[in-house]
Amino acid sequence: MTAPGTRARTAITTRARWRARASVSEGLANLRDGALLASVLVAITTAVVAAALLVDVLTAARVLAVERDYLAAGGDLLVAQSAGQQTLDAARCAALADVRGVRSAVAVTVIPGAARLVGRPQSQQTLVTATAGIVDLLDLPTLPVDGVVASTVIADRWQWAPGTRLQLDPTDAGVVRAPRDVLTVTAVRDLALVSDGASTGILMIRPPVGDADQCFVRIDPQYRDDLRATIPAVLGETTTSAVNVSDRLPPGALSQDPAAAYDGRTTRWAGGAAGIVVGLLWAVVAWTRRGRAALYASVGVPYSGGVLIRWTEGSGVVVLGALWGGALAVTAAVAAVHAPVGVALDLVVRGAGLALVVALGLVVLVGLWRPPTLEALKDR
Amino acid sequence: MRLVADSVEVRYPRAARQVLAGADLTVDEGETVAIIGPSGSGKSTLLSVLGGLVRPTGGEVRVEGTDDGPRDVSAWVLQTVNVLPERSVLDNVTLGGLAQGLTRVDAEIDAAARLDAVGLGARLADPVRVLSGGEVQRVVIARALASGRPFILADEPTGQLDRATSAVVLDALFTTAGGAAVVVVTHDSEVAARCGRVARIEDGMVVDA
Repeated sequence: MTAPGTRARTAITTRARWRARASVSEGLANLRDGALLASVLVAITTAVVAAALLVDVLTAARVLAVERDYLAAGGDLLVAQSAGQQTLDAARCAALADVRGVRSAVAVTVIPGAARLVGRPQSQQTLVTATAGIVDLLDLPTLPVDGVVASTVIADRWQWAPGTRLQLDPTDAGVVRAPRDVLTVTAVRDLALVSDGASTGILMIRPPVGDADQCFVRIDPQYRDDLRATIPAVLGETTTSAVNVSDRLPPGALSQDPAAAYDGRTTRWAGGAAGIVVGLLWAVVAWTRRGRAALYASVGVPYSGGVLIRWTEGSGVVVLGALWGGALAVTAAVAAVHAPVGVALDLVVRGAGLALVVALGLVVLVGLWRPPTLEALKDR
Repeated sequence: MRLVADSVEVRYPRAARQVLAGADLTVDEGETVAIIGPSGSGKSTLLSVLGGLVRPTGGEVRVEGTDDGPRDVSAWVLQTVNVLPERSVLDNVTLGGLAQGLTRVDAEIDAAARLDAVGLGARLADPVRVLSGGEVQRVVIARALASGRPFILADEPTGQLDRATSAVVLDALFTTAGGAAVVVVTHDSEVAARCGRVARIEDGMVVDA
C-alpha cells in the first residue's frame, strides 16, 4: 500500500465526480425511453388519486348537504319561553344578541286569526311580530317601514310576490296594534321555522319593547350547553317564573352531528391512502427496473447519482399523476356530481397534497434502495 | 496502481463449500490477465471480488496507489447484455464519460472517439437494440474505456459470440484499452493466449499465476 503521505499525489479518484445534472437528465431520459410504461404509470396514478379524492369530496358534500338542511330547519336555534302562560320581555330577548356564542336573538309573538285583509272577506290572517333579529334568522333583506314578510303558504294562496300591496282591516289592526296603512310584501319565506302556527301568517318587524311569546336564539353550536344555562337568567327567570330553553329541532332530528361527521370522516385520509398505493406501485416498478440501477452502478455512477436518477424517475411520474388526478377529481366532482366548487377545490388541494407528500416519501425511500449490483446485472 | 486479492475467501450463504478458499491475485495497471479454470472453480467470483461487487468473507481486496476502493477503479464488460437498449450507441458510451465527471459535450466527443476506435464510428445515432451481439459488446467495451477506470474486468465477454465476431470484440478490447489493465475470465484458450499472463484457478485457489 502506498504510504499515506503520497496518496494525494498518486491517487486517481473517480468518486463524487458524477454531476447531479446528469442524474436528472438520465432520469428524464429513462422516462422518455419507457414512454409507454411511464404513461401507464401516470394514468394509474391519476386514476388512483382522482378516485380517492372524489370519494372524499362526495362524502364531504353529503355531510355539508345534511348540515345545510339541518340548519335550514333550525338546527342551530334554541327556543326560550316562559313556563305556563306567561310572556317574556322582548327587550331582554333582543339583548341576548350581545351574549358570547349568540349570533342573533328574536322575540316573536304569534297571533292566530288576528286580522282580515281589506277586500278579502273570510281572510282571518295570523300575524307574527318579531324583533329585528328576524332578518338574520330568515335571511331577509332590510325591510322598509311598510314591509312585511308573507309565508309561503299565504303567498301561494293569494298569489302574492315581493312588491304586492295589502292592507289589514283597520278595526282588526287596531285591536292587535298592527299598522293600518297599506303594506308591501318585501319577501316570501317559510315561517314554519318560527312555529307551525306561523306557517300561514304574515310577519312584520316590531321594536324590542313589551312582551313576546317566545325568544328564538341562533347560536354557535359549541356554546349550546353554556347558553342553555345562561339564557333563562338573562331573560329574567325567577323562582316563581321559570324559563324553559329547548332545541328548535326535537332530539334525533338529525342522525349525525355534521361538524363531527365532517371532521371525523375517514375519507379525509383518502389522499394519503392513494399516496401509499402509488408509492407501493412505484416500489414494484423500481424492483423490476433494478437491472437498470445496477447498470448505472457498474458504469461508475456513484450511489448518490443513482439515487437521484431514481428520484427523478419516480417523482416525474408521481407529480404528473397527482396533479392530473387532482384536476380530474375537481372536474368530476363539480361537473358530474355538482359538489360545491369551493369545497371541491379545498379538499382536492389538501388531498392531492397529502397524496403527493406520501407518494414522494415512498419514492424517496425506494430510491435509497441499492439493488445488489451483480445479481441485478445477471437478471437483465 | 495495483489491484490485489490477498488470501480471499468467499462463502455464499447456505452454500455447502467455499467458492474461494484463499485466492491470491495481483493485477498491475496496464497488464492483461486471463483467469481460466474449470466450471465452478470460482473464476467469476474472483473477478466479482476484484471489482468490489462481492464482499469477501475472508482475506482482503485492496487497491494500491489510490484512496479509492475496488469498485471505484473497475469497469465491467459482462457476458450478459448490459446496455440501455432504447438509447443510441453514442448515449450509452457517453455514460462512461459522464461517470468520470466530464460535461456532456466532452463526454460525447470522447465517446465518439472511443466508438470510432472499436469500429462503430458510423453507428453513433443507432439505438443499441438494433445492433448485433458483437456490436453491443463493443459498445460496452467502449463505455468501459470511456469511464477512465484503470481496470477493465471482463467476464466471458465473447461467451455468446461466434468465433469471427469474438475476434473483432477481443481486438476492440485489447487494442483500445490504452493504459488500462484488462482482466478476462474465459474458457477460451485463444482468448487466454492474447493475454500477457494467465491465472489458473482450481477449487477456489489460484494455483498458477
